[in-house]
Amino acid sequence: MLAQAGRLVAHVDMDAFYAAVERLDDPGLTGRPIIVGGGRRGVVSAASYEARRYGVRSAMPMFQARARCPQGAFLPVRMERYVQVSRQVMLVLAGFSPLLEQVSVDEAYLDLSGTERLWGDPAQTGRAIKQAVRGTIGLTCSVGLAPVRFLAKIASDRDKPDGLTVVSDLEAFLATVSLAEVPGVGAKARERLGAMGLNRLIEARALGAERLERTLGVLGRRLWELAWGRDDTPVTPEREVKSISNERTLERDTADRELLGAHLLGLSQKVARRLRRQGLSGRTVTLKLKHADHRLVTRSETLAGPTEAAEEVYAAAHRLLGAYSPPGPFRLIGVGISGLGDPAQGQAGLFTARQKGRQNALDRAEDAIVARFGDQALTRAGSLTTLDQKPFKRHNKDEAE
Amino acid sequence: MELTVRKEDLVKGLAKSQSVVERRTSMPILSNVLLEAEGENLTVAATDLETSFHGICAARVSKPGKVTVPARKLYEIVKEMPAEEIYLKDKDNNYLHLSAGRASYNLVGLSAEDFPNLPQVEDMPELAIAGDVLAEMVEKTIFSISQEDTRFNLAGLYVQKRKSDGNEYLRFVSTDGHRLSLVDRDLEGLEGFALEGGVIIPRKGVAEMRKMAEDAENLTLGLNQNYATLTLDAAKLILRMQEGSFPDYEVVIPKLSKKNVVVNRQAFSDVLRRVAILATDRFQGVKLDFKEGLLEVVSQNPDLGEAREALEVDYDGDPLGVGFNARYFLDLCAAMKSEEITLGFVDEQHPCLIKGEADQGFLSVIMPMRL
Repeated sequence: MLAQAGRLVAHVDMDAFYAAVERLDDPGLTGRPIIVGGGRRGVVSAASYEARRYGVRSAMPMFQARARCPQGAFLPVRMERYVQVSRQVMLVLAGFSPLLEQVSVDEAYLDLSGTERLWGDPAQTGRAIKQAVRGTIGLTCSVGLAPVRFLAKIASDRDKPDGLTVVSDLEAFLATVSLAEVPGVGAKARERLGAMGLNRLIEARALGAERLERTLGVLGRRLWELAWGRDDTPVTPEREVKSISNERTLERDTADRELLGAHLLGLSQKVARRLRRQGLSGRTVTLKLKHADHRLVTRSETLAGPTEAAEEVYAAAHRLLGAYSPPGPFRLIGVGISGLGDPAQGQAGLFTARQKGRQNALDRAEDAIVARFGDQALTRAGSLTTLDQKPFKRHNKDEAE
Repeated sequence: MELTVRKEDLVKGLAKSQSVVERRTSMPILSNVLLEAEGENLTVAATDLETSFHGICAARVSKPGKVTVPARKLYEIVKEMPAEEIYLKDKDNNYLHLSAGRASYNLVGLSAEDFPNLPQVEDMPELAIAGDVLAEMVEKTIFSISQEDTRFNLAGLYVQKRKSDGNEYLRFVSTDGHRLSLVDRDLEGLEGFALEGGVIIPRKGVAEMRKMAEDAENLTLGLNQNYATLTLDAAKLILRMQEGSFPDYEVVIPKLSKKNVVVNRQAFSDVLRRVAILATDRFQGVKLDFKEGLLEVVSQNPDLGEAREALEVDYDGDPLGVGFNARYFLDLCAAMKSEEITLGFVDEQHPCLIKGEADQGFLSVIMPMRL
C-alpha cells in the first residue's frame, strides 16, 4: 500500500544559510567564496557554493579550508543575526500553512495537504514558496515536495541550490533513493546493510521486515516502512520546550574536576536564569560530558521537587559529576534541566517553604540586574576560571526532543 | 560441612532472607546466603551490609562447616525438592551439593571466608513488643517515608524515646518533605533505652520489620544508636541505623488549627479515589472546597476534563478551598482506623493536621498543593 492519498509535505532548506546571510548584509561579498566558522577549535560552520567548488565543506578544520581556498572571505559566526533572519523566513513560510515545523535555524517542514485550491498544484506551490522567500528576504532556498515527510527532505536536497523537486510518482522516486540519503541511517547501519548487499532504500523490501528488524532493531522496522514510501511522521507546529540546557566546548580537554565544577556553576546559573525568564521550573537535572574521544555521556538526577534556583541545579549537577568515575579528559561539559512546569503550581514542601522564600528574593534580584546590565553583569566567583582556560563556545539550547 | 535438614525449616529461613539479599550489587557475595552448620543447628544468614538477617534451624550435622551460595537459586531449589529432608554437603571449590530423593544439585558458591561478618549486637537494650502493636506503628508511618534516596535523612523511620508526666513512650515519625506521620505508643521496658536524640531506621529495614511483625505474636525489639534488632524465635533482623539528622519535625506540626472539619474516613477515601481518576498524573492534584456542612472534591485536567463529587461533613466555618495530592489522603485513610477523622486547617497555605479518635497517639500533617 502506498502513502495516504492527498497528503503533501514540503521541506524548505535555505541554501548555504550562514554564508547567504553574510552576503545579504555585505553585497560586496557577491561572487566571492564565503566561509563562516572559526574559533580556536575552529571548524567550518557554513560554506557558500562558491567556496564548495574549492572543496571546502562544513565541519572541515578552518586551516584546511584556508589552504584550499585562500582567496575566500573568512567570517566569524554571527548566530544572533542568523536567528533573526531565520525568524523572518519562518514568518513567510507560515503564510503558506499553519502546520509549520521549524527543525533548525535554516530548515522547516510545511504540511500543505488540502491547500491546492489556494496555491495550485505541488509544483506551483513550490515555486510560490521560493518566490516569496526570495522576494521578502532576498535569499534562495531549495524546496522538496512529497506525499510523505522523509521524501520531502530527500527531494529538497536533490536540486541544491535554488532547487525545486516535486515527488509526483512515489514509486519511481523511491527507486532512486540511496540509503545514504535516508535520514537516520548512519554510517554503521549503512555498513551493515552494505554487507547484505543493500545500497538503495527500495532494495530493503526484498529483505523483509523481520530480517531488517533483526539486523537493525527499531531502525530496521522503520526502514521497512520507508522502503514502501510509508512515513506517517506528522508535521508538528510549535514544539513545546521540554528541556533547557547550556553547554561549553572547553578550550582544552581537561580532567581537572575543580575546573569542571567551576564551569558547572556558571552553566547552572545560566540554565536557572533562562528557566526563570521563561517562567518555568524544572525537576530533572542532566549532566552532559563529552570525552576527548567524542564519546558523549549524560547522567540525570530527579530532584525531590521542582526548582528554578541555580544552587539546586548546580548541587545536582555537581553530585552527578562526582558520581561519574571515568577520569576524562573531557572536551565538553553541559547542564540541562527537564520536567519543566509552572513554579507557582505543584506540591509545596513542609520544610522548604521558609527557605524557598529567601532564595526566591535573591534570584529576583539577580534577574533584575541581568535584565538591566546583561548576562555578563553577574558571575559567581566560583565559576571564574583563569584566562587561559576560558571556554570559547557557549550554546544555548531549547530542546523539544 | 555435611548435614540433613527438614525442608520446611530451611524453606522458612531462606524465604525470610530473600528480600534482604541485594539483587544488583557490586559485591557478588551479597547475593549469596551463608549456611553455617554447627552443633545441632544450621544458620542461614543474609546481608546487604545495612539490613541483615539470620535464622537458625535444627539440623543433623555430621560435619560442621560453612558455605555461601546464591540466595535465590538455593531458595528455588529447596522449595521444589521432592522430599521432607534435604541432604547438604560442601565440595571442593566452594560447591554445595544438595540432594533429596532422586534429585541432586551441585551449586556454585563463593568462599564463606569472604562473607561479611554480621554486626555484633550483644548487650543491646531490648523490650518485648506484641506483633500487632509494632505492625500498627509501622503501618501508620511507613507510607510517608521518602522514596528518594538523595534525601537520605528522610529515607527512613525516625525513632525516638519521649517522656511526659513521668511516662516514657516510643515515637515513630516519617516524612517525605510533603507530609508527615507520627505515632506515639506507651511501652513497657523503655528504661534501658537511650534514644532521646532519636535514630533513623532505613526504609528497607522498616519494611522487613513490618513483615516480621505481621505474622508474630510477640517479638523482641532492640534499639541503640547504631543498630535496631528484631527477634522472633530463632530469627533475627539486624538493621544498621541511617546516618544523618532528621529535620526539626515538630515546627511543622500546626499548634492550633482554626478550622476543623470532621469527615467520614471511608466516604472521604471513596470520593477521593473517584475524583482523582481525572487528576493530572504526576501530582494527583485535587481541590477540596469546604462550605458549611459540605465538602466538594474537584479535579481538573486540561487533557481529560473535570470531575466533582460532594459529601456531607461536619464544618461550620467560612468557605475554604485548598489543593492537595489525593494520594496523600488516600494513603492516610488506609493507614487510619477511626470512623470519623478530623482535618484541621489554619488557612490555604499552611499544612493540614489530621487526627482520629480511634487512632490514639497518631497524627499526620499534609502540605497543600498549589493548583
